Amino acid sequence: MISLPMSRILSIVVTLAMLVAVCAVFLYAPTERQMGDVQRIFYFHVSAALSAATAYFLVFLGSVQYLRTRADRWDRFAKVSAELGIAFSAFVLFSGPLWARPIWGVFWRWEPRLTTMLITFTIYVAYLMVRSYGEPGERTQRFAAVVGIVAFVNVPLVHYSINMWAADQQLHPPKVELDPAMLYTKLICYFTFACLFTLLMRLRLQQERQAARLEALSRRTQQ
Amino acid sequence: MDTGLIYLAIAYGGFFAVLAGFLYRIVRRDGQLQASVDALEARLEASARVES
Repeated sequence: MISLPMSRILSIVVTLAMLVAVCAVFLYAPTERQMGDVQRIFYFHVSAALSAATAYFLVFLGSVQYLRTRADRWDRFAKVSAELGIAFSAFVLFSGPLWARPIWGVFWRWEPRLTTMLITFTIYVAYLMVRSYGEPGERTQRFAAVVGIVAFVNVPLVHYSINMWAADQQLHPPKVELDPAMLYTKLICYFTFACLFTLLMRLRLQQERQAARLEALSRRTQQ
Repeated sequence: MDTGLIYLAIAYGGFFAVLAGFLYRIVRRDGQLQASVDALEARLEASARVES
């Protein structure tokens, strides 16, 4: 239930951290000389990308654990992680083109990082589709776990795509030197997104547990 | 107005709008699930009382 004390404390922490993060992004961080104000998208964009990568790792972890133990809780863990990974990736894919348009002159280009990110996003959407369209039960859960493990291969590809393809095909810089104020702002945003991710994960897991309980109760009433 | 600022506003506005929607959906669904669980538990309790 949402009224659990830990979730309440986390909600307060997330709200305060979000306020600090927004103030840091808009008031504390200096304006980038070449890109101007639009560069401020960077702070939430990168934090969301990191959260998405963490979520995909948790899908991998939950899937491995499910195949090992066959415990439903690991399956729920993988499912909820995939949902959050997709949500954060969607923001990355939405904010990236908005940042790119004034800087690169185009919303989208099929360069390595953008392409691998889009492929990863699509694979995890397919992962959730496998779960929704499959018959509820152990077979679908097992199949989803295999997809969850195989899909994770793409995540390091997104990160290393900058080094793996030729430099003339890249739009993303290989390394970014940040002003100390920009670096602190980035770290504040990382912390905020970590708290937000934990909160959303907790809420969704509690909800999934509640749904499983409801299903068990309906089975009992039908007997 | 600078186009960069417009894109910045769309990005952050979009983020907070979607986050609010996501949280609202979680809270609403939680309420529905809790109500269903309570109703089923009450039904089970009532039928157990009738049997005894």
